[in-house]
Amino acid sequence: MCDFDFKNSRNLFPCLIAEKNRKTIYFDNAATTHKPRVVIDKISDFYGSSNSNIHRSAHGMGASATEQYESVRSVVQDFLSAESAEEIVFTSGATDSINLVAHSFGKNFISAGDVILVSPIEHHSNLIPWQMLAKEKNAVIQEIPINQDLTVNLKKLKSLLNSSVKLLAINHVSNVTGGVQNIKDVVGQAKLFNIPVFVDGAQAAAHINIDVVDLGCDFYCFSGHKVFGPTGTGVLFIKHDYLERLAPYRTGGQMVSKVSFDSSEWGAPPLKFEAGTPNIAGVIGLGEAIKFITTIGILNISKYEMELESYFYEGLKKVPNLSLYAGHKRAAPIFSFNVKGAHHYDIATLLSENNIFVRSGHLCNQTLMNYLGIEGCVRASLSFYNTQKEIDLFIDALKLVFKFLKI
Amino acid sequence: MNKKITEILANFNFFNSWEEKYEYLIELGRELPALQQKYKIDNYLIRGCQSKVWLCCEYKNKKLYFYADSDAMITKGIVALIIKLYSGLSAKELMTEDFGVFSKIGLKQHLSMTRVNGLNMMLETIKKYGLNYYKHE
Repeated sequence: MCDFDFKNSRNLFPCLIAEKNRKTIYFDNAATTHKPRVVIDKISDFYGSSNSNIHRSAHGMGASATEQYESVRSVVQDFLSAESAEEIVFTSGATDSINLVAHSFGKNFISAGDVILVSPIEHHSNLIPWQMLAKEKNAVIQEIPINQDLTVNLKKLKSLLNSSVKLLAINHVSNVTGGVQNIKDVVGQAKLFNIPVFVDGAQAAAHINIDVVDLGCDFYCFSGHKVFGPTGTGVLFIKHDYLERLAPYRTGGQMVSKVSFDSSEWGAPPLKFEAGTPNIAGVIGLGEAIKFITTIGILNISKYEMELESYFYEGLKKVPNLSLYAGHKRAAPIFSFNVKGAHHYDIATLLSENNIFVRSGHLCNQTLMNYLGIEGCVRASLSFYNTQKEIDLFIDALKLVFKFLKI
Repeated sequence: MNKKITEILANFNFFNSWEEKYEYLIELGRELPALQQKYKIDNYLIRGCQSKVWLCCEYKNKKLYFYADSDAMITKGIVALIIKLYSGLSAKELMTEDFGVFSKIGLKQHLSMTRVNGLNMMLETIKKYGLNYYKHE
């Protein structure tokens, strides 16, 4: 039994209760979530009372900052159920995490003619870095076959796997449909050929429990700003097998053990991957955001969000001429749709006039748009601070918009 | 300031609700002459818009005429506004036009869109056409 008061949880988010936003219905959580008061205070407290650089100062303030920063590694380790804190690398976001692996894994493990398998329904962040890598190394990027319901077609995948395949990259939860992939099954297949698996968890981390050991993946990433943390923070899980074998991404201060004028030796991971002064306050804020999630309980969040999901789904089903892009089981309350006779941009613009904020366009996923045969769509993405009442208002507003557009 | 801008601004000031403003905009879009299908190709597509906008220019009797279309109704209305303002001018006249005028007349205040969809890109394209013909005249 969960005693967290979901229905009034909006009050924990200063931006949502600011006078000018009181009437706002924020359904753009897949783009970024709002930040709870505790996270904002934590960042402010850091600058206000313990600002210092980390990993280098002998003084007390530096030690305190280092301790706060490093403690977040354990918080994230627990959040992802990773085996050790060393497997957690701080980045500037999911995009940065993916670029890190494309560079560092690519440098040592990808050669001409090798194959990188990527699904055709990825966010551009989980496609373009692999395209660039393939181009640079003369490797081949190949589509992971998918079923009509947008899940990986395991049977067809099996036929593509061989010793030339050096990496498989896939999302955990879709940024367009909210649908979840069966990562365990995909990893199971890939492991038969010792193929490492990269999982983009950007749309999963705020919604479902993540256990990287259970998933069996080698890399997992997410962005801080999509899990109630600050922008410019992100996480990359690198399985211990790869920590030493991956080349550094960026070089500079903090990531070295020995430097002479003409050569350098790298320090131990994870700092090997964190050159320069990191986003210290941001990481500390991210730690607070994850503690915020774990205090409520990710399973409680999932359960509540799935209630919202069913309610929203039932509501949308009744809207005439609306096509919902879905297929596989939704793990996050993300709904993308189009309405016959109306442009997604017009719908989003007019919803905005009704104080309802959604996203419209190709959602940084043009390959999925092509797959669906559409130019773009409207996306309403919810978080646990949204309510059934807001869903009712959304459906009413949608009807008003249709009336206005005469459809 | 371009006389037409004062007129448009007066129209916007006249409306009280967002519904009326958008109705006006959509109506402007409806009145826009249809763009021939042969111009609805990538060559004429304006980049940076969430909806598709095609814009092409005809140079006739030393004047520049703009023709455009969009697949979204509201964007088409904005396109129509732009054409109302800048089509039919000579290259020289176009060079003296104030292209920053849209933010000055407060279109963004009138329409609470987060960003006026690709508006700046459309204006840039018109400006480029003007500059091109001005150089060649």
